[in-house]
Amino acid sequence: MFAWSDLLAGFGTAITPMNLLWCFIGSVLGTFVGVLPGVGPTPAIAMLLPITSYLGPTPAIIMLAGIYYGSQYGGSTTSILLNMPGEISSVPTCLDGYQLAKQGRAGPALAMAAISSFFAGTFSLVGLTFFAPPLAEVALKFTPTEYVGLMVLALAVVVNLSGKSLTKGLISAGFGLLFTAIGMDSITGEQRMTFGNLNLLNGFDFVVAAIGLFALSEILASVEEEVGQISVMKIGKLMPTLRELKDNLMAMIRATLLGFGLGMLPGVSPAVTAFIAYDTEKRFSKHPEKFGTGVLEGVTAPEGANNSATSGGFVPLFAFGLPSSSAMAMLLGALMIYGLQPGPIMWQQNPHFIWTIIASMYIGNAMLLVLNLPLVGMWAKVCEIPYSILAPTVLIFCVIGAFSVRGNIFDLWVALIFGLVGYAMKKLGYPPAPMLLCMILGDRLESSFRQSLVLSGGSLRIFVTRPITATLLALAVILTAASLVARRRASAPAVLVEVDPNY
Amino acid sequence: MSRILGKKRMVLMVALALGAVALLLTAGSSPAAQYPTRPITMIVPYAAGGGSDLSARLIAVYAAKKFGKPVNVVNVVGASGITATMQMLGASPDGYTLMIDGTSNTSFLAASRTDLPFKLEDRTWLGRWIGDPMYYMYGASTPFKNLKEAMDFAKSKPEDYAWGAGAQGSQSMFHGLSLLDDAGIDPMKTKMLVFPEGMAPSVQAVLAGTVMHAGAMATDVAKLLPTGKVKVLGVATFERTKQYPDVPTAKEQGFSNSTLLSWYGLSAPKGFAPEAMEAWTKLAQEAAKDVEFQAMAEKQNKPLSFMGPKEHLEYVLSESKNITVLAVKVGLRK
Repeated sequence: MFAWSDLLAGFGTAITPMNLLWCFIGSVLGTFVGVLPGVGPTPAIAMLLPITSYLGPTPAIIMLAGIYYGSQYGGSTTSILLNMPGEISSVPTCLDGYQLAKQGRAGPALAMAAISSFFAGTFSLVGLTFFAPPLAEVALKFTPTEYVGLMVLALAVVVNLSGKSLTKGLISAGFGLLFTAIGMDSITGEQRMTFGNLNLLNGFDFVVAAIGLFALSEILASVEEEVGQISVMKIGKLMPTLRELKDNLMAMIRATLLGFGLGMLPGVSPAVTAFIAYDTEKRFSKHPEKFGTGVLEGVTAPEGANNSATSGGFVPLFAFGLPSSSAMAMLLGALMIYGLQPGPIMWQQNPHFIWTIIASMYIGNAMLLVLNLPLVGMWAKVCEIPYSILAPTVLIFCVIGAFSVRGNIFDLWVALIFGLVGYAMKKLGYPPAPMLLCMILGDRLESSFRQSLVLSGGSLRIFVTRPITATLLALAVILTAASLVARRRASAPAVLVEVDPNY
Repeated sequence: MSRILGKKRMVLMVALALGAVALLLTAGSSPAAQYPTRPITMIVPYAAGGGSDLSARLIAVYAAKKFGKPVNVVNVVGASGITATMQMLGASPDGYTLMIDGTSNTSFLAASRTDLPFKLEDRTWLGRWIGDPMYYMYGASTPFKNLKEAMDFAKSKPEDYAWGAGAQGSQSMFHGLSLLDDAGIDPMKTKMLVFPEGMAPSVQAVLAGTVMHAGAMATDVAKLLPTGKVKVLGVATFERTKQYPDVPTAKEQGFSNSTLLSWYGLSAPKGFAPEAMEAWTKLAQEAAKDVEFQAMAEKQNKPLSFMGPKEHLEYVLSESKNITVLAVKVGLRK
């Protein structure tokens, strides 16, 4: 399926001025959209769809793809600077990124995020270039039962996100799962804990909850502490040292592989992928207990993973025309407006189109690196803006973001309440990340579990008889046990007193 | 001049002049001026990229071209389409808010839920534009050669027959339910797999071999048939489709009640402004004859099927009644 000449021909078309222009526009728009909380690539693509009907299919799809992976570059900016996840896939970046910003190291954090995004984005494209068709076949083998295995494995991440108190972490996670139960039961249609409120029929949107739990709670806490500005320490260097870059190389490689693999699976949220990458990096680290206090790898891993996940998402799209996320579904819609059917027909009749898009993605990633690195200095200065100006501004963006997710005023109340809940959790030492992770996983875990039971006729044995599932579940058990042991070992000898992390 | 005409007369002349100007101005911007005079909003009750969304965009692009004013598609997702419907119903009927309707948020919704805050008749129906029949998609390695064989198997061993039903109460679910019901099988005895995200994962499950069949739209068939991984054993509509004339209908295979059309049309708040109503009705009539529009629709695999407002409402109400019967029969309607 792959021939160098095809790829080169694709580059040939991708570097025409028109296509380069739209690649640039898409990447910039994507970054912008990624920075804004609550607004993601999906609504951006939706809003720009009508315009694309005036362009040809090639520049249009190049631009829309640019928006998609560009948004994963931008999402880290507010996560690092303001503890406000610009994209749901940048939530784990908040954990260490914001701490780095408080220590005056916003520059290296932002730069590392961009570098990691570029590394992972580009190298994962290699996977897309060479291995798309066979990989797509593997992705197809994931039935609901395998998803249960994967989601349970993701839950094992919770233990590592719990910070000092495992109990509090588990309670936070438990509530997160409980919150996902609110709403219409997806299989029987019965209303659960909605109290007759139609707005709750779909439960809480986790993007809105994230805005509340992370951004709003942070504003409340900072205002209480009478923080003058975000960075207490002077803004140091803007770039990571060569030493740090070297140290992060393995992290970037791991993030690339992990993100690409998980990004291929339909329905795995990029946020889950980012959390798993964060957790994996923590396990591989020589100083895992430092995660959460401002470790550069804690930014590298999730940011790289969410970018390679976008390349992974293109695998099932190009191979079968199956979208792996809502943004991809929009891209698919854009293709269909042009009467283009991604899948085997396209490989046969119009492979040049696919190669042009892939080539444009290499170009786009390079463009984004060049765009983002010089801007690091500018962004880092945000940490020096007086909080009295910054906080209300951020609040405005949070409100707009929360509203824009579903166009529903009710979501503003949800964000506010989660903000208060997040604030209370902060005060009491409960980590917010497990709660959010469970809110993201909960629906899918439940529906996959019930689907598996329907398939097995009610028997739980299906979870051990299917090889992939059994492996994933076993891995979850092993990882959980390893984390528990590591925690025991870390707290036994006297450990250095940590700077108080988020939780 | 006032010296010549006298003050009173001067005032009178000025007043008359002003009156004349006013008359001229209002005559220019009378309500009879072309509708629309500003952008129109088209609400979509589901996520971007899905069936209703793409149908809405197809119509919106055409309408914007003909009206010369933008038609903005807005996705208001939530609660199986109830949120969007409530928003549309509460909007001003001045002609600038519409909604795209499909079976999933009208007849099927009314059939499967008893707690809807609105009645189907309580809106202005603007007629139907698209009629997209659903196909019965099976895996390529399926042992069945036609729907009858599949149903015979399902009848003998319902607990071994797994099928993808899409979201709860969706057309994808009723598509399968009506086939099983027609074959005299109790669907609740089969392995009905509900996919809350909708038809897409349901179709994917056929590829993965998790389920025997799932309901699929023409676009899915066009995409997947060439992969060689699927087979289409039937289509649930009254007569064979132009696109796939080799696919027999469920009806001719002996399943006479499985004639579910997945249609898309427009609706608006009650008391919709008459000039807007007229404009949209005319638009639909033009679209039916417009070769360019038809070509665009064909490219996107959206079969056009126009029906006037009154006719369409009757169709919807009768469809709702029939599906309700089915829903009660299989125990879906609480």
